[in-house]
Amino acid sequence: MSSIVNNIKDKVTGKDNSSKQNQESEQTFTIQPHPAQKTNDPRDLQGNNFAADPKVGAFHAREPYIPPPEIKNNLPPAQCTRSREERTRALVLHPSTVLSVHHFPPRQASRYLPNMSIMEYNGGSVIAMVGKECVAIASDLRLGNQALGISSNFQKIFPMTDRIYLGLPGLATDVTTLKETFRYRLNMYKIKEEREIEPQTFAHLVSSTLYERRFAPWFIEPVMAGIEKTPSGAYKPFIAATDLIGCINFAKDFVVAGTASTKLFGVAEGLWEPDLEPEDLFETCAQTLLNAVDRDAYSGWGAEVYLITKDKVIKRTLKGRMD
Amino acid sequence: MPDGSFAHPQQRSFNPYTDNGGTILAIAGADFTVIAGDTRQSEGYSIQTRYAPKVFRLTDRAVLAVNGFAADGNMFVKKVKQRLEWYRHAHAKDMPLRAIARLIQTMLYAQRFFPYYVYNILGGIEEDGSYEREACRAAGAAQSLVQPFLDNQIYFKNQTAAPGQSHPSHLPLPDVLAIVIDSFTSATERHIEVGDGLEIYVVVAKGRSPQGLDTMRGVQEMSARPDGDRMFVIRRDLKKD
Repeated sequence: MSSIVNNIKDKVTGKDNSSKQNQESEQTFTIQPHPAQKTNDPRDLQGNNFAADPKVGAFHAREPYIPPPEIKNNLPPAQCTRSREERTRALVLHPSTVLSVHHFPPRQASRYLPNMSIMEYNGGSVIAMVGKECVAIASDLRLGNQALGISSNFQKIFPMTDRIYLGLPGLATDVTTLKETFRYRLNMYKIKEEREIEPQTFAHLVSSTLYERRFAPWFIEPVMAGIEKTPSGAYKPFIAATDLIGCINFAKDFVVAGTASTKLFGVAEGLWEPDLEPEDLFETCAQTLLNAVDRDAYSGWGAEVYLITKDKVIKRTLKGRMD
Repeated sequence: MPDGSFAHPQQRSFNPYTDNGGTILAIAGADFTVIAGDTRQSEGYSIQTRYAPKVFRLTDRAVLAVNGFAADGNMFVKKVKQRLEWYRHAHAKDMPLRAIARLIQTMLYAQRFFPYYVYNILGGIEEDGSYEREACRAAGAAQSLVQPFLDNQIYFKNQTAAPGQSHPSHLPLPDVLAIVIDSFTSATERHIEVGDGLEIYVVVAKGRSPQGLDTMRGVQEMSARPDGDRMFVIRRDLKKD
């Protein structure tokens, strides 16, 4: 840069300084070394000059290692079974040679969803049956994390009033939430109406509570059993079940839900008969549940049966297979 | 969508199998065997026929029930029968039951990489009386409905015997027939692929009483000779809805 400035200066002044001698004699400047160091090498400033030691320096190299020519020029050629022409040709594929196209990772929405059914995530089953002036509702006691058993004392049946019991098979977190939701709604009902809810009304309360969440449902298929009071003052057994969005099934014989539902249907259809006395109904209900859950990996680990008659409720906890 | 062009990758597929529904069931007694199946053949929600037998007589004392893909089932029974005929020509006798069981196993495994889509239950009488590897078995569309019921009623699972008594290891024929009919009426009630008709084959060991079977209404005897093992077929209607 200074030479260009000098040339301009020379042209202005008319002097001819383009000779070699003049260029060599041009004034130069150097940076003064740091007072603590002897040279201008920046490595001298890094403490005890570790980098000057070749063993240490190798780990602090700032530039790529360039092998000396005797190594660089004697490397063997790269191994390849195909010639360069062949490799180039293989890069241009005819469409018919593409058998399938894979996208990594797969571009389906399921990539974000684990491969499982939420309804079968925790396992569990419930059944309710009608007898002569009595009803029974029974459930298993298992809580699982898919195939892994977590608890053998997980209740799925909850008292709603003195005469209504509600079974909540499905996703365990929703069992706990819905149990509290119904407790709250029944308390509100009692405060407003100054009376207990009737089973029929309760079934519709369950239905509308679930349908409220039509597009983001609770993963629960409730089963309920109770004794209803007819206008004449007589007592009548009542059972009902809904699907997870609240479609009610008012059955006259039995209702089932949960991971063992197909097995419960098969056994109940074979064992149940009309007008069973309370103790016979208990036996029928218990046998149906036990034999059904023994063929279901996600249900079992103990069971409990509620036998509801007009003047009392008997809860029995059953010993079942623990495998 | 495959369009025959080379412009983009294409995929074609062909599924050679279908499920034709139905259920089969077998229960062994002390000196008899009962093998039953419904007669509905369906595909999806359509009923192809209300009478397509799934239970077949193989020899004087062997019965085979097939369930799953009906075309494979029929072909498989045809081939088993052919092998049994060849055996008769070579040995001048019927193949023993345990040999048939092993033959079926081998024939199915021979198709390891293009399997017969069929569940099989073989029932019958061994040369030294009734033979069993299992006392009861259900298979097919309503297996999950029927099997736990059978556990309870045949094996007395979850039932405690009265003090000083024990559960029978084998039930008498009338009890077994009642359980078979109840199983199928129950399955028909709750499963859409089960119904129309019921065929129950009963093989009674040589010299044993057919326990009233010979006088029961609507029973057809299929025995090859009266002094050997006896075979009966009982046909019953099931609901058609």
